[in-house]
Amino acid sequence: MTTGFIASQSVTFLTALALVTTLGMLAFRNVNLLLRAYGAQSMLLGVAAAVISLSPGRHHVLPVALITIAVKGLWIPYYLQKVIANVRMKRELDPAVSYQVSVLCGVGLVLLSYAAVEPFAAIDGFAARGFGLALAIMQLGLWLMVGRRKAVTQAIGLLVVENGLLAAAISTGFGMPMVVELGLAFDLLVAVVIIGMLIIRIRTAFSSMDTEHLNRLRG
Amino acid sequence: MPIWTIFIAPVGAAILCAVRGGLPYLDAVSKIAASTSLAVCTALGTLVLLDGPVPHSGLYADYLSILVGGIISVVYAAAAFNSADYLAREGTGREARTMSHRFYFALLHTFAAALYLTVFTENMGVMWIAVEATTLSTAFLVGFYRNRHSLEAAWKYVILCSIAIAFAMFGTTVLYFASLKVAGVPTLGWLSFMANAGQMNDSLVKLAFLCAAIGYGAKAGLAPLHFWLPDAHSQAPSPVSAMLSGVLLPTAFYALLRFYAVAVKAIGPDYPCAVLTLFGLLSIAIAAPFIIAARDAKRMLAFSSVEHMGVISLCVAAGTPLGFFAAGLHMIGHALAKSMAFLSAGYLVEQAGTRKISRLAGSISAFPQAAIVFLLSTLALAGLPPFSIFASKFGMITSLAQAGKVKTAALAALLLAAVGAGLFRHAITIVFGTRPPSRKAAQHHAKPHTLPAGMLIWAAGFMLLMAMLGVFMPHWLYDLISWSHHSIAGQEVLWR
Repeated sequence: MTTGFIASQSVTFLTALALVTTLGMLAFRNVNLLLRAYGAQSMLLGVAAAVISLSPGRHHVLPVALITIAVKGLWIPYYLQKVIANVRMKRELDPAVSYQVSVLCGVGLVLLSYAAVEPFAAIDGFAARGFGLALAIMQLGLWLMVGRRKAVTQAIGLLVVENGLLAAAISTGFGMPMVVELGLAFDLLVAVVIIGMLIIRIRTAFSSMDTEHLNRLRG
Repeated sequence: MPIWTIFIAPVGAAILCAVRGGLPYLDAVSKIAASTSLAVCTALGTLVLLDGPVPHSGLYADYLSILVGGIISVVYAAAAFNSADYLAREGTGREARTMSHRFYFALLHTFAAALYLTVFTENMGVMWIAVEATTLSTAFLVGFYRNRHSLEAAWKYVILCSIAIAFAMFGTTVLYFASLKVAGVPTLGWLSFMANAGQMNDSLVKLAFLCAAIGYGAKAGLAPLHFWLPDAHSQAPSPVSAMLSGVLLPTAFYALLRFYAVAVKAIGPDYPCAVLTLFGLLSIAIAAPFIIAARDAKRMLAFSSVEHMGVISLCVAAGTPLGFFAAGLHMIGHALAKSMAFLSAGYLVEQAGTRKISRLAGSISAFPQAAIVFLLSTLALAGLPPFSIFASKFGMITSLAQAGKVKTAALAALLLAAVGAGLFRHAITIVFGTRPPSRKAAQHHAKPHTLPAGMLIWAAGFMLLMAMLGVFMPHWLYDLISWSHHSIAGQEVLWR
């Protein structure tokens, strides 16, 4: 690995912390807390990207890091908090999978992700650890969506999956080319706005945010 | 002619439609934009056919891009030409919804621009961004009616497609990493992936292809990841359904084909073909019972899309030039037949005020023209000759058998027969069945409704084209489809 030892260690450490916040999110009941955890997770990944950009020849990652911190760390949690205030929702009382079981299965998914990237450890240890963490974050995001019923929580699950992608891009050691990262950030921004609008419309049409009601289309 | 000229018309039209309203104005802008795009795409296609693939600062057009780009242009034109009629009919009796008309057209053109970007970019990252942009631009088109059903469809569509496609991005990142390990240059270009494919690490490429197959496969409507599809396609306004089904699915499959090309070059055809065979067979097998037991006409067509994507997937899984040719031909036939099926079904549904097959029965007496268009397009979808879908389905079975996958071929043929029978039965019910008594009374004195002239011309054109492709193939099209296989196999076209 050409990145210095300390740099690569701290990137792995920060990504691992992001994974810890994801595990925590599986246990959170309060939606505002979930959003804050998401914000913290994005910040951690943003800082990890900034550490990558310090090594020579990788300065193109710095704008990506700044955009991540600004958009995912600050603006998205703020915007979704406004949406939640709009639909008057505080906590998820009736998840599809209980919180304890959810966390337990989450740990299992983490182990599974590590098993999946096992073959790459020989190619590049740093990348293998990173891809393992990224895959774990993505799977936990997916699991969060499966386990909860409220539209907002499902949207947060989607955002966590997206953060997993960022972790994957970081763990290549180069980050993605600038154009791609900017496009990704823009897509995410639009997606969040659309999802926020859909949540408000669903609330108006169904007088509930429960996705249980979204089961009329069959057969 | 630079490739970026293809974006001028749809992007310009999206802006023009966003700033001003009025249905006649929107209609004129859309017609001009769609015709211009068709013309530009034809010009680009001619250029590529004559001079070979052109890379141009991040954009890239080879035979495969032109093939899918051509399909996009044709169906985009059909949707743009028929939207105003549809919205005008649909809006009568309600308050004028100028604002949402503007919204509708602006999103339609944005959608088209995103589709063009998907096929004409060389960068796999940008391709992913464009595919995600197609989801985002169509979210409110699916939820256009703002009732409970369409909101449910839009929610499922956005969430499921975004989540699935995240895995495609993970696959892209893994492939990027594999290429980085070989060449040391950070690039996501497809051409450099192809150049480095030979030395890439096998297990990395396998993981990348699997993730891409899950992500883009879900977006292409392959079972078992198709759950969003029947809802989205049945709830959207019919011209949008035509584009979602006829164009968006093949475009997502196109993205998967780019991965397929790299994977075949890196690890050989066995693994990618096995994955595609599995998805293909599952798609046909899962769609079959839903089509046979369908009660909703638009949902039936939506499940038929799942089946057809399965066919295309199996064609490619044969791994031979013949199979690939069948896949290309099938994309064309499906786009033509399905867009007409959705437009005519949309007309019938909206005139009768119901989607239920049993209540649509006997449409031929009240709406003879629409019923005949629906009948012919559904028969084409069922795979009856002389339409080209018959030829491509036959090509699929032949190529699978030639490739030694006899069991797969036999199973697929059986399932296709069942699907064809189901479609045939429902089409006959809708067109010639006994009308339900409630409608008999209401429409007893009404004279038969005729289709708008514009739509009739499009329908006739598409039908003729499909019938022609079933029996006769123009030389340039033959070259275009067979050379698409060269693009995917990373070969030069030899005659030049």
